[in-house]
Amino acid sequence: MKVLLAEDEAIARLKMEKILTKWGYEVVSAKDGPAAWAILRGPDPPSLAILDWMMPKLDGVAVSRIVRKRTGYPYTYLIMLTARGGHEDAFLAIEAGVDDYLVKPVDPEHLRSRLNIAHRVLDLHEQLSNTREQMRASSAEGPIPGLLNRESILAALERELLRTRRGGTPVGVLMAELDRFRNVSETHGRTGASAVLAEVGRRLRSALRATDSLGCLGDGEFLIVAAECHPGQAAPLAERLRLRVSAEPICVTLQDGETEEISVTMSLGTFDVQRDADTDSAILLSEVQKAMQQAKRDGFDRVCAVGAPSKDAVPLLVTA
Amino acid sequence: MTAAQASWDLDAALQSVDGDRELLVEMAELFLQDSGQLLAEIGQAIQTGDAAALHRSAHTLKGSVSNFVAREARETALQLEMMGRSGDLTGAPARFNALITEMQRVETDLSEFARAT
Repeated sequence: MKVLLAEDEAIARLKMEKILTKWGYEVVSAKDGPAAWAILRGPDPPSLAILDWMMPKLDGVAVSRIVRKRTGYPYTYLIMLTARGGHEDAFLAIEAGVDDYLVKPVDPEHLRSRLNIAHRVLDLHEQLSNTREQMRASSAEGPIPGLLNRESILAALERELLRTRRGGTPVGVLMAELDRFRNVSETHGRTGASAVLAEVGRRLRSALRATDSLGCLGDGEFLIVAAECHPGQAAPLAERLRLRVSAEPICVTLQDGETEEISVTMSLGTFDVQRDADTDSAILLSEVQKAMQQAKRDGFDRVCAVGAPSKDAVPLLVTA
Repeated sequence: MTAAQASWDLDAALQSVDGDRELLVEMAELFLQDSGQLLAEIGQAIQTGDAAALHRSAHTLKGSVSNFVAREARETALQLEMMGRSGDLTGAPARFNALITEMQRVETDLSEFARAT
């Protein structure tokens, strides 16, 4: 394991370097505060640092403060060295963000046990960040808040199709894509595009029932699985979604702090799945995608339906 | 020389390096190289009445002799460090003379230790 040793006094530095190396550490040394900080913010920084309090230019407390202020780095465990009988106040060091402190001259046995604590804490931090990463990866939520990711919305579709096969419950499948969304990304950057997607997600969700599933298939591309959607109901639902999304411009705050109003429209394809329909999801998705592409070919900002409603179509039951 | 007369504590110093005698010799050699310079810096700070410089240089020398558990030298350096910190250098020349005498003892003892090991 890599450890930073920041100590201005040459003999103490030699002593600590040798002892830590003997214990299997890879020691990186600094003779003053600025050198210590340069190592901690450099490439592949050590996650463990032993800092002498009194150092030229920038003391150990100042280095701790800077380390604790930064974000986006893995945790750095800080051990402060203080002189015995000195005026250095351990509480000040703790308040500055150090994890532990040792009084010089450092007793090796003591140091070793403190390093064990450091390892335990660093292991916990690593486990925590791994778990957080895994949760993020396996979360059903996709890149847009409140919307399912691709995997989850496709799973929802499979579940509904299974219900249709079993009990004959009809289901409406809607594929939607923002028109010329690439232009939004190019003009307003990633920040603008993300804000637009989040708002479109909110608008779509607000026009759907709680039993409908809404997910994101790709950049600006959505899939809606409307449960118990009777033949002929999918297209009106799609029309309502289209109107809701384009009703008013989306106000976004861009990276430079400017706000801008962005108008968007959406093209949708729909497919009514009835009990006797071919319910293979791959064929279904390909059909509904064809419908959506037809809507785009017809001039964008419209709905195109496939899977013609049967003659026993029931009146619209879908409510927002 | 008996333990009571020694300017430093070999056993404690050895313990502080995990019993590594070779490392202790290396540290002693580094000390013998640098100690003259450290003392000179303290002397200069007192001469020019630079309290901040005295505080800093005495602190460094204190840390340096602490590695060998040289208690007397450490105590004297600490007194000078405190004088530098308070800004009152009245007693500093006298303490500095005492420090020079004590440092000579430490240097003699450490060079003997380095030679004998």
